[in-house]
Amino acid sequence: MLMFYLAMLETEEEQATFEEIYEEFRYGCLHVALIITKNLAMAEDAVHNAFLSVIRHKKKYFQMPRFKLKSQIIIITKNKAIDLLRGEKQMASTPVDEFFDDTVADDFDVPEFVISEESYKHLVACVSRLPEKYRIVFQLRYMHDLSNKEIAERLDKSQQTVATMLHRGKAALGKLLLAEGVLDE
Amino acid sequence: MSNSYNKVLSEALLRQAAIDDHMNELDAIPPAEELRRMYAFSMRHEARMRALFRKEKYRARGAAIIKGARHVAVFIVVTGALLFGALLTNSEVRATVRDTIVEWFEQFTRYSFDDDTPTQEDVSWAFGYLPVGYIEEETYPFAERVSIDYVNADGDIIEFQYALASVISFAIDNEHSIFETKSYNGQVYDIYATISSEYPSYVIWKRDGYAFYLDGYVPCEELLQMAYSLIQK
Repeated sequence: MLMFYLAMLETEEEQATFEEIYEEFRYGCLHVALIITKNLAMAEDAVHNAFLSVIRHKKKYFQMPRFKLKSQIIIITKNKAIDLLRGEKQMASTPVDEFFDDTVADDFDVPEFVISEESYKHLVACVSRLPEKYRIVFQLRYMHDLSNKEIAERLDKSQQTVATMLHRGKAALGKLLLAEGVLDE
Repeated sequence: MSNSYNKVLSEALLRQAAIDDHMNELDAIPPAEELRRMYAFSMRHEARMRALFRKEKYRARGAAIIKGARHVAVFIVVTGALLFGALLTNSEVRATVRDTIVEWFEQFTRYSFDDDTPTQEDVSWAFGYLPVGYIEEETYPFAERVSIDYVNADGDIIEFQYALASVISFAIDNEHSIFETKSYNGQVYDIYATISSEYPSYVIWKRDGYAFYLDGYVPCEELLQMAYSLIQK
């Protein structure tokens, strides 16, 4: 019977952990989803879908340190919000997205110019102005050191799509730096 | 600088820039207390999340129970089978349990149905009666069963599930309830009336080749009224 009680304890702990995580992060998730969707109902859907994803991968999420968990839940919520927007065909109206052409695939290397503090600040500012879909992939890759496979799992996308988004994200960053005059042709 | 050095430098810079960008983004999110004052979730969302918690709770509990109790179940089923054979010599018992198998475990009761009654498939069911304030919120069709949530303004949920009896089974928490049966219009209803406000009450019944399940945090009489009012859509 010991195994039985241990199994019950585990599920009750998991349940409590899940509720605690939801309570702690739900408003932050709503906040970032609202920034993207500008629509409360859609933002709530994004929060709901994000926590569904957390449940689906709970073994991974429940083991994470709090800060890392917060970061990943925020990123996933943003991804869900983008998916919902795309479903509503509103994504095309997002100005910053219009600037970039998804068919552009020329890669970009951040070159030697980024040495001074000022230039580095420009680089960070340009990353922050990238379309969310690229920022999300950058954040999972660089902040959380996830592989394409792991990113694909988190975002419910194929590995190929993730690889393409990484590639296009860098290309988009290069274009943005050129447009800003930070880089020379 | 060599190309390979450039590449390493580039990747390192991009990594740091992406990290800093994300840190700035997280820092820009106001503290939880402030966010609570800024936003309010809709009733629809709260009800949906509660449903999600409940579903996860039952799913996790069911999985744990099945995992932990499997060896107990084997013993009980074998013993039960012997006793069941003896009981079937009684005609009254035989009539009652003819096509419903009820297995009692320490913490849950499992229902499965062995029904050879010809049934009309793809029948939709609805209630003629709902407790005051409850409305149909969402329908979740999954596998062969249909699950419908009825929700009131406080976000309280009554969950209704049904499926062809031959393909479904239910597990009921019997630790926190008192069991009784009631008959109405020739149907037998199994009732699990909760003894704690933390746990729902349940009603299980079978009709026209379908098996039905209701649970909710309302008085058992309300669940029974719903069950009695069941109609084909």
